[in-house]
Amino acid sequence: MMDGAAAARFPEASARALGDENLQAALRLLGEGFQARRTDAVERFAGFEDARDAAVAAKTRTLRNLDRHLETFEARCREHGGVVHWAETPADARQIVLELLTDRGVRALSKGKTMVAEEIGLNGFLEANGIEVIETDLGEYIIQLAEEAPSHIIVPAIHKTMPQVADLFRQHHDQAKAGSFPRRTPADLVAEARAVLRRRFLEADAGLTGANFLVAETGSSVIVTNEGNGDLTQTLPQLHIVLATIEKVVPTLADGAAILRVLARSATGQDMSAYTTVSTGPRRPSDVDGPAEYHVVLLDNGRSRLLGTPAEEVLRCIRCGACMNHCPVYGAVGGHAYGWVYPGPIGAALTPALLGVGAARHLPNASSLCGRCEEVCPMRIPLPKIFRYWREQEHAARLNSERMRLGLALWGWFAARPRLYRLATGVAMRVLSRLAGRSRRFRSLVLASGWTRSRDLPAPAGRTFLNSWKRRS
Amino acid sequence: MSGARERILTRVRERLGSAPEEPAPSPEPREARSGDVGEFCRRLQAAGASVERIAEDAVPQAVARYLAERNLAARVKVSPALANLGWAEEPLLETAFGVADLADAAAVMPAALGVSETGSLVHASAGDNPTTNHFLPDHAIAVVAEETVCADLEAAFSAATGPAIPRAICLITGPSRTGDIEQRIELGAHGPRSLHVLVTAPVPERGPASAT
Amino acid sequence: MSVSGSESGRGRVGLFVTCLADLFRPSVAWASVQLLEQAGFEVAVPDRQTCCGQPAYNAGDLPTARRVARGILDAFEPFDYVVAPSGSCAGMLRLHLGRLFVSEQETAARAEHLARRTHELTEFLVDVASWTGVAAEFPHRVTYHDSCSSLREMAVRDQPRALMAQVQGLELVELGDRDVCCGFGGTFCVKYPDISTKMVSDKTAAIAATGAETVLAGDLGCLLNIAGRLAREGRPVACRHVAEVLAGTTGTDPIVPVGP
Repeated sequence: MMDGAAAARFPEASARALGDENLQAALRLLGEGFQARRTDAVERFAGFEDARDAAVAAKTRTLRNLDRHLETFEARCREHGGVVHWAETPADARQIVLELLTDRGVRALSKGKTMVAEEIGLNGFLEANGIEVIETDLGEYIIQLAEEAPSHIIVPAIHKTMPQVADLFRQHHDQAKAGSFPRRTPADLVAEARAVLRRRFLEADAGLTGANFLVAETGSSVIVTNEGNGDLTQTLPQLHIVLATIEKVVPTLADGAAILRVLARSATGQDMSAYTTVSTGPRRPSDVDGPAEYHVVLLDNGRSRLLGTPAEEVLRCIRCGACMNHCPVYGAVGGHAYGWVYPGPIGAALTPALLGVGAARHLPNASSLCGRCEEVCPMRIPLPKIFRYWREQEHAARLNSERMRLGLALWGWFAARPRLYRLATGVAMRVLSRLAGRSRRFRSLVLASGWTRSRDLPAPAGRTFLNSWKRRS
Repeated sequence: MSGARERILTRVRERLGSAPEEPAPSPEPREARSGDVGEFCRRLQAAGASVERIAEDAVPQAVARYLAERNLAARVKVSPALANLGWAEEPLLETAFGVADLADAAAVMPAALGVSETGSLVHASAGDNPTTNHFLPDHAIAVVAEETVCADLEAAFSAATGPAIPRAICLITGPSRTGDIEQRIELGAHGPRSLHVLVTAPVPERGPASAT
Repeated sequence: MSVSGSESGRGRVGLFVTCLADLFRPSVAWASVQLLEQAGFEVAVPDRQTCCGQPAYNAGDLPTARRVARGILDAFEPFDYVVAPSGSCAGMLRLHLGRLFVSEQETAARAEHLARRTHELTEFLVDVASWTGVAAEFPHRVTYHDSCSSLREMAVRDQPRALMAQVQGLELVELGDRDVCCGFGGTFCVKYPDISTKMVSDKTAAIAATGAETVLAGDLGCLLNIAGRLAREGRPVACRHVAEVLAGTTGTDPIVPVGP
């Protein structure tokens, strides 16, 4: 698991990311990749804005009565033979999962992609306790081989180029079969991973998945995937564990339908992902497949504390990844620079709630507030507003730099005194203008080195407008 | 973790207490409108599936033809729910009934419904209809009756849950795929590399079967 | 308080100069005054204005932002309209000022009243004034950068283009990725200069790809950033605020003179 301290090193990590040519090559694909596909999908679907409204309404309804929906979910899940576990913290959730596995003698666990498992650091914990974890999502599998964390919530290995993946497979896969894997195209690599992982699904004694949402009225968990790995993970082993945070519940399947209508379009630009599966309890007496046991671990980990705060709208998130696909900051530095599980705009909005404003202070600050994330967010989460909220918390707790505070105070003092402001700026601009000389620019300026390191600072005209206007009239 | 449940729910209630606004109810379930079969087929194809419209008594022949055209072995695992389609009429097609395993390259299974809004098949698990068959074989051949095609996701969920919700309801929209390597879409990540859908029409009584 | 163009009958506009135009490029404010007068409005420039308060507001320093905002509310009380040659400052006045005063009913009402009267310059000229009297010539190939605030907060996209279409000789070539931020972002560009540089470099590359001689925009923040990067890269593209071109006051140097 990445620890919280990494989020505090955002400036260093982003500088490294900007110099990483492989990463930059991978990120350059976002424009013609996910961005273009989403645009096409939205243009194909005339009802998209209405669908967004319906999805927002569904999730808003959920959150207003979250307690009731959670209780209903638990009761219905139990009626269908499932077991619901409640966990307040990552440690609680890890322990619940471990006990479920060890009580049944499970040695190997197959996993569908779940960000919550990343959030609680499940893999490392289970492996330390002697349980083998088999990541089955192709992207998760790649980064498991690379011993890295995901850098994107729906495309975990988006930072890897094809040659890098080929290298990983060369290092880790059976060399005896090397000749049968040409590794020249993405298709070759997909086929190779398929061949290698096929058997492993059947070897697992238990399968763990996340949930795109939980349905209160039926007590079901729903996963949305394209590879089909999630379905093999939750169908083949004897034990299926669902790991989900409490805000994932929606009241009805119809509410789920409202979310599905915007999810794939926003995520991958598909009208619908290949597989959407509603799982309700363990196999029935007459069934010939499906898990014998079905457990749901409901994790809070800070969600309940967000309710009723100005940041609570992050709880509407359906983890489509559109915000990061379209974010110019994410596009510049990738996901690892954010230093924690959820990168990009949603990470910048959520991480301070989970790690604290101090540890995560860079994330909501590292935004030009351009608003492209909010524009594409299917759930209309006001991400820039939430970034500002965290900045306000940071400022109120005096966690921002002394230099910043001093600068703001000084500027504010003048800005609230128009006459002095005009006098001071009048003098300052005249001086600056003279200093600039005939080139009308500064190539470096002591107090503006952040600016002038990479760009010239245009020189002010000399006389301010307000002073000139006063003379004219 | 006894007590965790109460503490979480208490915290949620405390936090919600500041927003006592009465929420709007969930929308009423939509009237189950029947869907547009042409639209359903078009969308399925757009999602990467191949689609064939046949008479309901012509499934074995269509399966045999499909396998032959793709140079696949004439051997399929058939979900028990489809045992009575007259497989014997295709003596060269080897059929076995039950749950698919790694040895099965192709499987034939029913879909309970189609959804024209999305071009999805709806699998509803049952004793004679294992979920595994949709995901494990390389080639999935699904049979769906055209009169089951409903309009939208809400109608599909409402119809599929029926009086008792099955263990698994899968909406299947095209073959397995991934975009995990350089955002390039590749088919057949873990599930089927190909999805062929046989959309069946009722055979008029006593009349000759006709393929459209 | 000083007033100009008093013969006009279409209403009184208080010009929100913006701090960047005031300090760095007064020609933008002069051009704005001229355009508003041409459109038939009486223009006043309240001398108690300083800045919209965004540096503090976006840094989370609400007390400071509030102090600055009170000054704006006082200075712009008496006008029919408040117009700013910036989507960013207009956005602050229209969408954010009220949020500063949620617990002060009376002040919140004044902020709401200000919000209703506030417009970005090109939006005001097109949507409110329905003005089609652009009398300027600019025989150049230009491209246009949409600022994020104009685009997303003020719904300004077509208005500057409608006005540019009236300029004699102006040929507009649209930018690739035109809805993507240039990396300015107020204090963002100095707090995270490396990321900002990457963003503005992508923008200047897109500008160069259009083959335009001049890049225009409606926000000076973006323009200073873009002009500074173009100059550092040695790309011979001039930067101007769109108001200067619309007013025909392009006798002044561009934001950074092109050339060595």
